[in-house]
Amino acid sequence: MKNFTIHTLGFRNPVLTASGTFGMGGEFDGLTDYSKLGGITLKTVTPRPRSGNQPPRILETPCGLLNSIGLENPGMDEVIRIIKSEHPFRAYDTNIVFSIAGETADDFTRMADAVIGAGDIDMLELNLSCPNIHAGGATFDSDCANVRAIVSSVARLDFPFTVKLSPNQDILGNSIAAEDAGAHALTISNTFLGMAFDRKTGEPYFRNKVAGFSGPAVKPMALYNVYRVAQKVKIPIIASGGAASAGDAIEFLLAGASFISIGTMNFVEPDIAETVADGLAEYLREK
Amino acid sequence: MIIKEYTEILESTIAGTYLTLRLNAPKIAASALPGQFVNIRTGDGFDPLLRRPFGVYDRSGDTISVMVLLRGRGTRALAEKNAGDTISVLGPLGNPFPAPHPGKPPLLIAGGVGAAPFLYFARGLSKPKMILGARDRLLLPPLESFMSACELMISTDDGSKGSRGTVIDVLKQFDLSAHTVYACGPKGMFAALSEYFSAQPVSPLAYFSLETYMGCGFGACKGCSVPAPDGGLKLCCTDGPTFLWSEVML
Repeated sequence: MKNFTIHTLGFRNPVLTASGTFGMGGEFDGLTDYSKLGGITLKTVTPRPRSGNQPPRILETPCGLLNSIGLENPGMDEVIRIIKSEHPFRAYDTNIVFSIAGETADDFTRMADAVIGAGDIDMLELNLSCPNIHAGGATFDSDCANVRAIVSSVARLDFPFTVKLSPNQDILGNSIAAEDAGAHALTISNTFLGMAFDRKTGEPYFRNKVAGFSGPAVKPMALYNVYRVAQKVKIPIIASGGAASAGDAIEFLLAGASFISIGTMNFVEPDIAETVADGLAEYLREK
Repeated sequence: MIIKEYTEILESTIAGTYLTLRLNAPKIAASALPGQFVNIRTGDGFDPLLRRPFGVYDRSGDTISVMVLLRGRGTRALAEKNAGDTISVLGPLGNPFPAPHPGKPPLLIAGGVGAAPFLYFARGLSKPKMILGARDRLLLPPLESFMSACELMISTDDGSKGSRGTVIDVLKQFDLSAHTVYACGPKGMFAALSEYFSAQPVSPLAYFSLETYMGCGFGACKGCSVPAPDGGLKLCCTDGPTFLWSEVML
């Protein structure tokens, strides 16, 4: 059996859930068996509370989903307070991956430090790529130098972390920069930018005009990104993009990923990650 | 507790633009309350991708029923299923209808398929009054079961069935302060009701049971938010789907 490790952290299997698709964990209580999963990634937390975008926030397309949620979350202080007082994550027998997005480059290290201090967390995800925030219009990973600076600063904390990158930026350049700067893993990738229009009004369907596109429709593009990043980096890749079955997960492994993250399909089949883990276990045993 | 249950379709009935499915769902039926909904996977593939939410229309023993207005790809996929087929149902989801206030008998207001959650609700009440409206008679849901469970008042915009006009025209004969009002229907109906309620001397005790576009149905995706008057947002699935009329902006 293969060993599934990121930095110092071992995983029972290579199947995770993707941030933004698994709530803060508790939403899936009773709907899936956490002890069957390698880990769960919580919804990205920002320094301050965010109420998120005004509706509409989602739109189904053939085999896909556009979303413009806008990082709705209660903010770092509130989440830390809950972790310290209620210890919600201790109930989940799996690795807890805590996803953070800063407003400034310095926020990432400050937030990472606070989360590590709060305890009950096994790994961090730096969300450098959420496409829904308009702060200046740019994401952190629109500039390789930014990626390098943030990653090297967080790496000094010597706590397992992955860097979630956007496919809408130079994902290959950012991957190489993140590895150089000391990242322990890469999550390839966040959602693809997409749009829809309201034919009656002639306006874009979403208030932010662009939205994040995910679901089974993006799998071939995600596979391509995983494949080309895997040619250039040695650190583990967590593949994220449209996986809906153990068969899809196997394709991501073949493309060079070490882990597979289940995203949009959690909304459709809340126990899908468990199903994928079961199916994959069979494949890995035969290997 | 939310359960994912593979349910056998016991009966599939199409009447006009409405489909009624009776499902063998012992686990969900055991705890589903009036006002709650289920999220149904309409096909086996990825198109349509998301489940579709439907209010629990009726419940009896181990079975639940849903009433579906055939209007899009998801609902048409459901119509192609036959008795004996199995579909995946997630539920019960959301919160039940709050009980009517003592001394204020319920008054139900439904627009078209918005009537669906009121049958199961009405069965637990003593033949409540229900105003049921639609654009025309073809958009009215099948009436037989409602006629036995409710005291039904029908209105259609074109007068092709019942009185001519909207549900508000019928509502005008009621003293709102004497009732606990429950409404479910399209957005336009809620907007008109909000306007009517705002104009009342005393704010009525009225609830809106909303239908919105939904991702997961259990609070994970944050996709079904509804604006609130305080500038905040409510999640239709876990905060609702029933809200005090003044809590949401429609």
